[in-house]
Amino acid sequence: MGSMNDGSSNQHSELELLGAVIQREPGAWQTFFKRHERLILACLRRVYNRYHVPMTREQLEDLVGMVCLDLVRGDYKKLRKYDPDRGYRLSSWVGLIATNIAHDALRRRGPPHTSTDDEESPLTELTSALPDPLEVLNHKERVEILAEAVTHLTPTDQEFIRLYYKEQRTPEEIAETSGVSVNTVYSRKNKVRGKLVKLVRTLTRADHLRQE
Amino acid sequence: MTQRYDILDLELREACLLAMQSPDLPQPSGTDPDDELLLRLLDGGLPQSESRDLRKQVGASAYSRERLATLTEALAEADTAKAATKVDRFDQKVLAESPSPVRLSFVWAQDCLRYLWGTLEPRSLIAVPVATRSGTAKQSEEETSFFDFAHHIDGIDVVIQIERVRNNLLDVQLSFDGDTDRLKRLRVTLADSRGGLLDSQPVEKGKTRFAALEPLPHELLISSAQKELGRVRLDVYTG
Repeated sequence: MGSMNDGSSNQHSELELLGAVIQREPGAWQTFFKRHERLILACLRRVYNRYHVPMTREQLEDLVGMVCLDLVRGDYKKLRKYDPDRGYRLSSWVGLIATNIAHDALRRRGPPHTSTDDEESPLTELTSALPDPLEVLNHKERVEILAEAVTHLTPTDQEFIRLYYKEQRTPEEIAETSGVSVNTVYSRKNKVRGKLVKLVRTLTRADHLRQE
Repeated sequence: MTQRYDILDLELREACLLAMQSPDLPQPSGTDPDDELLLRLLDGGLPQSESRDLRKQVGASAYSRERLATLTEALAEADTAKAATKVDRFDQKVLAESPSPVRLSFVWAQDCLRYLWGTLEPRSLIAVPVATRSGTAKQSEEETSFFDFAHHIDGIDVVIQIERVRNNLLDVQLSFDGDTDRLKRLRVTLADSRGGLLDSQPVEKGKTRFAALEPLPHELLISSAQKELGRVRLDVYTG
């Protein structure tokens, strides 16, 4: 949670920039957009990731365009309405607009689905390569045991695999957001995989004992 | 980027999707607090007692709770002091694409074409009310906007120029610089937003131009000997 007292000079310059945008000063909108682009992208992607909805580049670009349009429409009607005395930051407001637009887009799209059925999923190759029903069953069992093993990991490890496997962030992205080197990301990935393999063995043994 | 994954990775990804089930998409209801209250709660702009009550209200509304959680995480993730990088913009699948398609979005507002956003930076950020290719324009209702962008496709430098001309139409010009023999083989095809062919022109003297286009979405396909080198998508919204 941020406080309204935090970064007052930053807020001051933010308001100056907002004024310049509304006055249509050359380059002001581009500066405003650049300042908020990361936030807009983060909101859009997080909403889609939250509901396991894969997003293509084109869809992401469409949504960014919709957010921009919402901000500039009607001669910056929304931006003109912003009042710093209302008790919230301009960036929070821009972020909520992006979040709402992503929610609206998902609602228009229909019920969410998981990406396991998605054409672009790497899993498609795996399942199509395993037409034998027994193999499919084995695969399903392995995945279920792995899923259980995942819940036994520490919160830190779970967060890592969420980023790496569920959200499919690149090692470079994870390194940047976590403040570590790319090599550390690879090393962490190998450690977590090792932990999971051990957990799977333990869970499988326990399962066999239960069956006996 | 599929090659990054081995069998265990693929099964792990599937397991993650299974173990980390997504919540249902919440629907807004009449009892949700309004957006302004949510933002004041987020940024500490409410008195403590109001804040406590509102937290209870938010806790009972999946729609408000989910949006607040997303926004809180995104604000923590995105430092507005830093410009977005390619990695911020696109995921690894997109970064693996080559060549990367260009997208340029404009808004048509108050008789002026404004650059909204895009994958390229305009070389000049100024919407100029001055003489351009279309001739001298009056500044007020006949304000003319001109933007140009520099791009690089497969060893060829490309300058994309977009200009609002008279009668609320657009001119698009592409200029190419590179190996002369290669430039001679270049062709640019203009399509509408559904991929319908509108026009196709060879590049002559390093240039090609599509004049008097309706302010609608268009796509330009740059090719050489029937091989696609790159695409430029132009969006024009009405603001």
